[in-house]
Amino acid sequence: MEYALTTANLSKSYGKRRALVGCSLNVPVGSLYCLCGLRGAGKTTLLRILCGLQKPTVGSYTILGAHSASPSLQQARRYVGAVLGTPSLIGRLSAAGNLEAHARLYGRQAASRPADILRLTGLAAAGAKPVRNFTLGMRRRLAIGCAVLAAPRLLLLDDPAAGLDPAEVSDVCSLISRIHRAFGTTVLMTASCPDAIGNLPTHLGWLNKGILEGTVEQSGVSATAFPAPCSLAASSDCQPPLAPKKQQLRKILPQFTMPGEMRS
Amino acid sequence: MTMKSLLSQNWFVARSSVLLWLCCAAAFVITFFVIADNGDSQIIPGLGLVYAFFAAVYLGDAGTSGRLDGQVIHGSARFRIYLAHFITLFVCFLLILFCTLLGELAAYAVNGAFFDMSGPGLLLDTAGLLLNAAGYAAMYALIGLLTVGRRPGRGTVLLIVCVSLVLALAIWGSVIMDRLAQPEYDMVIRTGFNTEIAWYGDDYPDGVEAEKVPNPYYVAEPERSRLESLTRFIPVTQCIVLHSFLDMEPTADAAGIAGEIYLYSALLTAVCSAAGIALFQRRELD
Repeated sequence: MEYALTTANLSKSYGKRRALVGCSLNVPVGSLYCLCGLRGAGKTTLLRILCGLQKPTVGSYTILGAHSASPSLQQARRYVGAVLGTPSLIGRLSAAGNLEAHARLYGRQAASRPADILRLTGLAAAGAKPVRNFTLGMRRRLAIGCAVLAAPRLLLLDDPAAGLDPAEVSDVCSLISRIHRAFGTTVLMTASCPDAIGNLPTHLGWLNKGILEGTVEQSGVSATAFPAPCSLAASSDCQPPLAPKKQQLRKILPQFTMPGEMRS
Repeated sequence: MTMKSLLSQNWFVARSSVLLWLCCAAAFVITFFVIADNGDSQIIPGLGLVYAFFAAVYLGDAGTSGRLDGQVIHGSARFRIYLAHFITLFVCFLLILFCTLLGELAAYAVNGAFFDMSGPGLLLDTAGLLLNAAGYAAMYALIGLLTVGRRPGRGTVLLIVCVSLVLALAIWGSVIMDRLAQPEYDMVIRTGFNTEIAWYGDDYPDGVEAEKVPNPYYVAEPERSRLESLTRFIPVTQCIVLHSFLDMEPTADAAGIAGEIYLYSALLTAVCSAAGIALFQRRELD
């Protein structure tokens, strides 16, 4: 199997506190991988390391075939999009202005795409409204739109459903699903609660106190089972792939502690 | 990721900010009115404060908006990111400096007090102020890019640090300038309703007798030479020394002093940038 992202024994410590302990993860090409875990489980730390914002204490990783120690990693990062924490946007600018600011960084890779992305994210109607007046859901969608402006092959999303109301969660999940299908982008996202992201992921992993306790590929759904990429214009017709529910996950991996449950 | 893309993004964000144009307008208006009122520019040494304010807000925004993170995530080399922010700051400082000089020229034109714009004094002053702006940009880029981040409040911390630094340098500079002032002041006692005010300096009406009083802070050689070198190194006092060239006949001595200031400014820029790039490469962005 070909992997878009692999980590090998990745660990990160802040002084005596161990945020990530020997995490070995394989994210297949074309998958939508969701890493679940409670707050402080190490999800954000893992993504920040993968984004190059922090350095691992021990271990290594490979992104799109480029090893973390190799000089080709910088080149590989150009095909990575990410939304970490609160959306990285300039409040005084409109949605189009923010997309232009990002497009300038990406250069020719993204020059012709802002209008498409505005339609994809459903923000074309927002017009000249400054982003600081957007709802959190709109900002989250725009941030994801900015991250996919350069048509990344790998998209990293840190808890995209956090702090959103159910309708906004649905919008964001639908957007992620559309991006996953339309661009064939491999997605690694995190979530504090698998319920929040519904049937979206093809793979689930469970991170607890910095330790990756297990991963599962959802039955009947694999990267190859996805329909052919749909066009941006027709993307609203795309539906999230079917996947097992939380109960099925518990059947497969009974040792997992689901969010809101006490470990027996 | 090319430097051009980074500069293009930085400049797009900087020019879309009201702050840059506000700083430029403030630099022009304040300079114009200060000179129109006093007949002399006292605003140039205050440029450091305007630079500090702009740099802190610009870099703070780059951190909290996630632009800095975005540039790293998208595969830009960290030294390029650092240099791109330094260059953007420098260009914005030049714009503010240009508006200041424009305000100065406008005020002189309105007052009818022209000075020889073709003389080497203006050239020495302008070249020095350009290098001085580069020194400031390097200093603030060093502090800013090692401080800013996504966590709220980092921008405010940066603003406090930058403004405090420039104020501390200004106070230190004024203490040094006092020590380097003339050994004796002209003192005139001005009588108010119930008060007597001691007035120092040579700006008093004709016919009033001035008393010579010693400058209590005056220092003689060899400490004086050391302090003079220091004034050519501190960015705030660099501006004062450079601007004094406008009023005096250019001499070989003035050219020597200007050369020393250029050297120190270039040195400050190079040292701050080298240290900043080395530390930024290792910095963990939070």
